[in-house]
Amino acid sequence: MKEVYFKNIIIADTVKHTARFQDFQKGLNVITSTDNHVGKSSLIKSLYYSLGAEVKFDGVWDKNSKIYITTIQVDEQEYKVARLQKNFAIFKDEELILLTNSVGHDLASKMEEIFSFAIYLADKNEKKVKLAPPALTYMPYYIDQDKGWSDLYGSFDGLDQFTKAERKKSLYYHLRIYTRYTIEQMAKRDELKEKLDTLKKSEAELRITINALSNELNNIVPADSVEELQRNISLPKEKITDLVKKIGNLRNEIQELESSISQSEHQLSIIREYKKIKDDKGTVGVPEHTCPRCGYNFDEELYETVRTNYNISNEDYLTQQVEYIVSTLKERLAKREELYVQLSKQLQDVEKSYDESEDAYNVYLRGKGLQESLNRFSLALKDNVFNQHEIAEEIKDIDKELRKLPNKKEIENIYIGYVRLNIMGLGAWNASYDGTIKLLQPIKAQGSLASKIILAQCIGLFQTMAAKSSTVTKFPLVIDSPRGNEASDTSSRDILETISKIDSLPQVILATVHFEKFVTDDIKASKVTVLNDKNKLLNEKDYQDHQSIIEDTFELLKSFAMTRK
Amino acid sequence: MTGTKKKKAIAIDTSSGSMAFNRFEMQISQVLHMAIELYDTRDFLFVLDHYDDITLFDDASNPQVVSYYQMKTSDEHILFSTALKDDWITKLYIQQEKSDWLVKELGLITNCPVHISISKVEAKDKKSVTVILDKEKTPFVSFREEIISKIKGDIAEKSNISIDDVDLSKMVHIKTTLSIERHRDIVEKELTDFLNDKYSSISVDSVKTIFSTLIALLTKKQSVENLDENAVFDKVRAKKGISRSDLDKVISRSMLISIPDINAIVPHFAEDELLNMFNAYTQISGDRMKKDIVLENLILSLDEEMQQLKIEKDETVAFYVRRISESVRNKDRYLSAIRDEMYIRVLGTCVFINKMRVRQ
Repeated sequence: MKEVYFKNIIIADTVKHTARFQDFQKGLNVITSTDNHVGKSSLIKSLYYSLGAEVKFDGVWDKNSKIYITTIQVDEQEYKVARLQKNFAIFKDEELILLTNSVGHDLASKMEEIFSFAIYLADKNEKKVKLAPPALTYMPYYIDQDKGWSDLYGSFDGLDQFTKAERKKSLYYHLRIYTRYTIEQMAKRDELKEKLDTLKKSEAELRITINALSNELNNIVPADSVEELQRNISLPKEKITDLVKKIGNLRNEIQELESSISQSEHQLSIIREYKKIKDDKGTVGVPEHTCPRCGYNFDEELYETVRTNYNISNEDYLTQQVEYIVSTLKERLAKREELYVQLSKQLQDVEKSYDESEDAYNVYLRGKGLQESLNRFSLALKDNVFNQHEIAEEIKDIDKELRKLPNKKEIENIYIGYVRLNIMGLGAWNASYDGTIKLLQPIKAQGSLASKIILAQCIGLFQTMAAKSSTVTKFPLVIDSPRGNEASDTSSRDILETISKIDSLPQVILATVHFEKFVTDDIKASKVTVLNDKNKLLNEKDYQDHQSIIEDTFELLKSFAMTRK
Repeated sequence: MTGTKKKKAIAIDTSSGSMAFNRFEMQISQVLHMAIELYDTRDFLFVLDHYDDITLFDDASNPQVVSYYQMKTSDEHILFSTALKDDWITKLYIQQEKSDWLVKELGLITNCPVHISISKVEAKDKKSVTVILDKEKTPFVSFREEIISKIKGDIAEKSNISIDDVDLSKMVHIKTTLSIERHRDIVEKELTDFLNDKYSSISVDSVKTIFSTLIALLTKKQSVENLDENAVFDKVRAKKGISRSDLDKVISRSMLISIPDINAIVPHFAEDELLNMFNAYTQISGDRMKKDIVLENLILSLDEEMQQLKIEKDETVAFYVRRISESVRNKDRYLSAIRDEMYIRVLGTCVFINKMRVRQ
């Protein structure tokens, strides 16, 4: 367990060169005055403000023009925390260990380190558990004059990033019901539950899909015909290629044949033409191949006669030969044409069967696709169910782990007991409070009882902490004006006595008027500071006394702020 | 058609013109018929319608021996009396008197039997002697005495010589196997048989060519008219003669330029070449009809090349012809340009086949 308490605070106005140095003791420290507007509240508000909380200062108090240097003792270690507007510096002894303008991150982390205590809450925007700013740590330890007595735990400003309910959960940290570990576990559990929900949703969808696919697959090609289908599809393909090739060759052959026939018929017409010429002449021509003078037949002339007579005698023969060729070619052509028709028909048939095979194959492929999808979905379902199981197990483990935590109900009952006693002790008990005391839902009372009820609950928390959570870090309780709402002297005494009896905390700093009136043996303060000069909380003397630290720190933070702009 | 009718027709027409035409036609067939008969035994030279209807010499260039023939035709029969009356016998006989060469035979050729009927004048009852000459060849000396006397008397009288000097030993009657109606067919058949005997693979087109060429040649020789009776022998031989050598040339050239039957060509070409081969063959046939000079030259070039480069043992015809064609194409680039390779190969195949046929 760590104990934290304020050793002193310097509040300085570097423009006016005025300052307030206020030191504190362990135990009860009372800031009092006989009159109002002497700066009690400003001093009180400055304490946790200087450590990073946001409070609402009086309208005349310009918090931004001031530098706050607070010395705190954490067990045996002294720290100085300086604040200028949003800029902070932390010194461990004389060593600067932090210089930042990030309250939520740097300062909170450093404070966690220093205090060995921090609060983790779910950010309402980011929907995740994150380190809460230091104000949440101080929340139960400050009752603001203006806000604290009507709304316990509502004294600090600037905590809107967490819901009110979430903020109140920070009390569990102080009671050790929650720790960083447990809250992380819970966050993890929430995340797992969310995952589980998603998986369940996904499982339902998968089951619908798988069911639909299974129905679809029932009507599709059986698996054992796959090879046959593949064979069927590949055979016609080869056959088609072969047929197309054959038909192509045949077409070429047909063209060649037609060309040959045309050429042969042309030659035939030449031969017939010569025959016609000869027939028209009507006589067998005997050319003049003999020398007209001597009548000698030269060999060449003899041969010419032979040639002439060849033609004369053989037109029919040559006609027959060429006609034979033409008829042979025509026969071939007819055969080729017939074959062409046959092959074209075959091609048509094969193409048709190919189309059918392809259709079947496509159906098969679709089926295969569906089967694959089904397999994939089934695997996904298996994974999903497995993951669900794993997550459920994990959640169970976390729940088991979390169950080891202090029992909320039990602690709350203790708390209720203390609060009840406290209210009774303050003479404010009313039967109607029975059953209404709840840790996270403080009772609000009216009129002069309000302060007592708030105080009873506030102290009840510390009492419960002492009873059940001895290891938790404890902070100084800062109370501003508990005797508001025209409390009677008796009531004031009861309140002050109750406050003075708080022994579970290292320090209580109380601001109240006319404390001197109520000082008795039962109500003793470790240190009483009386402020009497109106609006003179800060003075030149304190500034001069602490000028060096004020100005050095001011320069440090100011220059840091400059670099951050 | 009867002989009488024929005679009447002749009478109406120009004297014996038609009759003469028939005889000329038949005479040509007869010469061819005789040439075929003689071909295997000896050289010969026929002269048509000059010294006589048909004159046959024993040698074409330097003749020593000669035979003269008169050719007479009739539709039915011939009367020997006509032969005597029309001086056929006398004209034939006097050939041996005036011939510059040794006369071997003097023949009267008729297409029909000759009827000899002689009355015995010394007999009281005037009995006549009738003889029919219907054998292939009948020497006059074999006739009956009365007939011989009658002939000798007629010759002696007309030739103004002594009857005892008349020598009928060389005179013969020849009854030709040719008929007026079918002499061409018959002689064509004879030629065909003759050619087929000599060249068993000779093609139909060659036979037809040889026959028509020979007929054409003989017709030409016979129709050359108006040669001076005393024209020198060389001139007569050139204008009117046809020799054994002429026959050989006609046969060999006709066989060389033959276009064999397409089915004889096909086996020498691959299946995938047939279409192109057919095309080449038909083109050759067309060129043949056009008497294309490129075709003729190409045949001679191929023939010459085949004489130079012989077919190797075990070499296929296809391969050999390809080799020859390549060689011809290489020698004459012009030919290669105007006739494609297949044309030359087909023609080469034709020439090769024809040459093989001549060799047989």
